[in-house]
Amino acid sequence: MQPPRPNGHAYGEAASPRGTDRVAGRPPWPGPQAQGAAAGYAPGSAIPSAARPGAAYGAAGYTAAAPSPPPRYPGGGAAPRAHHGAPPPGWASAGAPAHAPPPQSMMAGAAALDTSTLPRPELDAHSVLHRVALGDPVPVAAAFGAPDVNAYGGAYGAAVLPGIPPGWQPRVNLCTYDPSWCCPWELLRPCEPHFMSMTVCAFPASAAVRAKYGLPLAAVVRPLAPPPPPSLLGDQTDEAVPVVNFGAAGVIRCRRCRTYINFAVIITDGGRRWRCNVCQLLNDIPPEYYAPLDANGRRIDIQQRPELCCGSVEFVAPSEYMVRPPQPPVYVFVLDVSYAAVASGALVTAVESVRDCLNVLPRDGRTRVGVLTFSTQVTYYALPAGEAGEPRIVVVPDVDDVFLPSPEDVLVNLDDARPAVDRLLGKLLQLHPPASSSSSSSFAPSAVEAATQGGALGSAIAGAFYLMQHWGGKMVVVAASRPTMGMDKLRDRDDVHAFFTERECRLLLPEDGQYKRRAVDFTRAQVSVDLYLTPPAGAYVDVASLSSLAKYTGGEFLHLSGFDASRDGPRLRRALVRNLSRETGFEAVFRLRASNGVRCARFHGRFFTRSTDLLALPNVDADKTYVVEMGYEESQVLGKHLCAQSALLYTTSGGERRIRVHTVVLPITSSPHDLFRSADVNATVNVLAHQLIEHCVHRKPESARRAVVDRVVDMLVKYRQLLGSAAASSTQLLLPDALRCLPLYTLGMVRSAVLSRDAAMVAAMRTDCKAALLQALDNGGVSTLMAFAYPNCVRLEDGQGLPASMGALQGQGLVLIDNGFEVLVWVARDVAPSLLTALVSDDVARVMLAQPAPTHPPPPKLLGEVLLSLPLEPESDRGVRMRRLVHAVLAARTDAAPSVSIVRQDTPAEARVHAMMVEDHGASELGYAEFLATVQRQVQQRLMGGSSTAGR
Amino acid sequence: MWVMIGEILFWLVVFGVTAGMLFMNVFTLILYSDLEADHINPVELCERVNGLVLPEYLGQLAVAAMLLMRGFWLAALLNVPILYWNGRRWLDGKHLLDNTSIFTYLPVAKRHSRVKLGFFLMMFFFYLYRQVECVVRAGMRWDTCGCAREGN
Repeated sequence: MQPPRPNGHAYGEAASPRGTDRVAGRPPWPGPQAQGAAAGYAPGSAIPSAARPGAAYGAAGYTAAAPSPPPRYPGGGAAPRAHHGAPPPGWASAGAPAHAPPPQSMMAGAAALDTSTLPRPELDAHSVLHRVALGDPVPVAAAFGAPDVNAYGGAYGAAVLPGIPPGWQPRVNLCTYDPSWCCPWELLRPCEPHFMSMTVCAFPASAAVRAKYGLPLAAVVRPLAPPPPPSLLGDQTDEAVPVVNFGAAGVIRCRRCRTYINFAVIITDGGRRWRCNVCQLLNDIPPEYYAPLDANGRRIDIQQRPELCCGSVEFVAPSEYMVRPPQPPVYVFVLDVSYAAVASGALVTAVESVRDCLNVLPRDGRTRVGVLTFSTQVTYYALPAGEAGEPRIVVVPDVDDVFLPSPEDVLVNLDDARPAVDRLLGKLLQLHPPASSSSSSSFAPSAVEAATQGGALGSAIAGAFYLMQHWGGKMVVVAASRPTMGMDKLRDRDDVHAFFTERECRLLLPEDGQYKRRAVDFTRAQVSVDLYLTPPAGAYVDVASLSSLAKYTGGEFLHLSGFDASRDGPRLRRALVRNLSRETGFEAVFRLRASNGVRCARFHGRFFTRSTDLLALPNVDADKTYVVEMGYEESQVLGKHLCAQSALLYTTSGGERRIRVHTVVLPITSSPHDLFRSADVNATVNVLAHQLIEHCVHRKPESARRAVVDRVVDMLVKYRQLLGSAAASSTQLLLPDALRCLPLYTLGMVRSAVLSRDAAMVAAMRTDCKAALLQALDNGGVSTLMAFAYPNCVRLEDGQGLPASMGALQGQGLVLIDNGFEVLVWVARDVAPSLLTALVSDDVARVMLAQPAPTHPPPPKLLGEVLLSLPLEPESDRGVRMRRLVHAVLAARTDAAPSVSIVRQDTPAEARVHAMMVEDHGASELGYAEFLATVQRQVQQRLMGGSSTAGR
Repeated sequence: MWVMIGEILFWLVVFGVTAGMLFMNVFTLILYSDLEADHINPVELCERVNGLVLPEYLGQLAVAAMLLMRGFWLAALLNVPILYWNGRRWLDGKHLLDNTSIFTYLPVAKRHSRVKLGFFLMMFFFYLYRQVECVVRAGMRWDTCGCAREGN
């Protein structure tokens, strides 16, 4: 009898007979429509339980014939792994290994070298743009529309549910429906995945089931997520989150577990009571909220009740939700006027950005603004109200003991003192003109002194805190140097030799608790710190210590090393303008509630954990993502559905208290197959990247790499064990369909600048840059971290996606490469001059195309900024369309504020592109095919080792 | 005679210090469970627990030093593992709780506290036994002395 074969994609011909017949007659990589057909488990079609979906990737053969043996492995024999400390077991013995693939698959290796058949995210134009904006399209319909209704509490299929249209396809955040819910099927609007998504679309019923899955169980929540840029996704109308005011009834919540009423509660007793879907308690409905039920058992006013139909709602919170009256928006700008900041132009950029943004700050007469500057001393500015208000300078010379001279005039109402604020900003530029300080430093001994001394950043932050501690609000700090005098000094602990050693992770952690302590104090006073560091080239600012200010107060953090206003100014300006113009919530708390038996195990993101499930966020905005890992409180979770509800209570800039609630209901399953089938690769990668940060700061890079790779190996071993005997003998790499790209993303993370020596070298990473990248990762949204795991390469001409491989890029003209934290426009050697001229202006194109190349070519980032500054009209123009695409990618990366550069092929700057091409060989990095082979070998080893231990 | 009294006093002090450390550990564990139940906020918890770290380490050191000076090798040896562990924590700068990561660290902290609690409990009874033994011996000698005096 033929063993049941894994029903999925088989890559790598002839590794087994099963593989060949699947591949025959099909394109190597099925398109989206082919994939659904190949997966072939639309609801209704029965699949034998052993023949679970899986994709078999015949990676076993790759090692035998390395693609055009790289110079480092002469002869293809034992590969020397000089300083790559984490050789995957068995890798070095590619020629005569202990676990050699069978001869016929070695033969097949040559055929399998066609790397175009390896699993990749979809690369057609639509999918790539979706990937840029929202991450990989997750076909839960194909992956999860399981026919075995019992696993989902009988909630599936048209036969079971009369109210559901026959063609119903489950999707992310809507994998289950129960007719007993108060919301009828037609009105249900589930929570959009960009607000909140779970790593799996079904919840394991017990810790034992979860242990058979092996990947994190978590919710990724971006409570105030902006709608995805329409330019990337076409005319997708994104409906705004409905706002609900309960009025006299008060916010309807469960008495016991405090869950907010949602679409999945059950209304009983003729509409007088509702059963909470988290703790199953029966609650009374207040008379003000009562509505009778119709013949179908639905409330007659259900159409007018968005809170009973939508997965995402916003409640207007009454006064019980306030500890104090809603705070006004308070902005305190702390600007560095030291020599370094003035000379590099950071001060000018900051002042001009602030000046432009004063108009877009909330203007309802409550906004308060204060300005502080610091160098070797801290300066307050008193801003009298009225038309004739002339700013007064109040210097605090003693930086060791900062005090607040006159509190009433320093933090002023913006509307009253607007003339004074404007005058002050103009005056700041006059007082510290960039030209004079950079022209001749001999005339300004104090400036030279300041440059060598650094500044009193710690004192300035403390001073700004005194100013706003009774209000709370936002402190925007632009600083060019480490605090070297006054309060909270930091010493230079940079150590170039610590790079990639155990000592490095110490450097990535805050030196001393001082800034952490300060951050916690700030959080308690509802003050958030946005830190923009603009150090001159080569200066060490101790990002690791300073960034804890932003991390624990929910602030923004940006580190622009080697700041030069002509090159990095626009980026700093973009970041500042975005920060000040986006909708900001104040004095917020975030909580995630889940059904009984499930608890929040860990949190990632920028916040202070105030209790086991409560995060304190002095400021919250659209660019902040929070990850909540879940664990089991009891051994088993009862019931059919798990409800996870995230609630963000915040004060809008208009002074209204609001609760943003996202509710997701998942089916509870006891079958690990469902977990593999319904995994959401976007959320999973996001959580894995957050865990990577913790690995990086607690272990040396080599063991962090191993931990990351082990995670995916572990998952694959579990998947193989789950498939049972049918797959046990296979030498192919079997990947669950929903997670078929996870090895690729793991490779991408391992090869990123935080873990790869190659990539880090190319990016000239120093401790500061690395710490800053970790901070950025910590706040990365789903699509940003997907790009981080596997860069999006988009041909600018037509939006077509390309694999991240130098070979694929060759001859493609202009390619946009986006790795989440950096956007590059790669210009091919043989680009058509007309194309380049259309993208950038005529003169720039001439400089770029000049032969021979100029000895001092313009820096790539400068070219990138030139590109961004070009006009975006009219749309018919080819160049405009390309530029709009660049802008659209940038608009999807508001959480990372990436730099934009134009890199020409065959220039030194192209090394950065090479480092991003995760599928290619690096000097000490594996290519994609080889990586799959080592993963496969590790899986085999684990399975062999595991079978002996399992027998015990 | 005075030697006996000195020894009793010595054990009394050792016993007392250990009892104090035991108490501090119980208190820490109570604080941890308070934190889980949301009766105390992490900042306050860390202040309180961190306030107990130095006394505990010093007490441990004092006990070990005293035992060593009196030449109770076995008892001193029993103290070595925890002394070593304390020393490592101190040198690594991990002896204080960090209020920003306390919830991640809480399971570990609780486990540490429980292990220490077990250790102190063991030592508590050990010292108690030595003290009682000392008292009994002293009593016996007192008796024999007394008897001898009476007999004279």
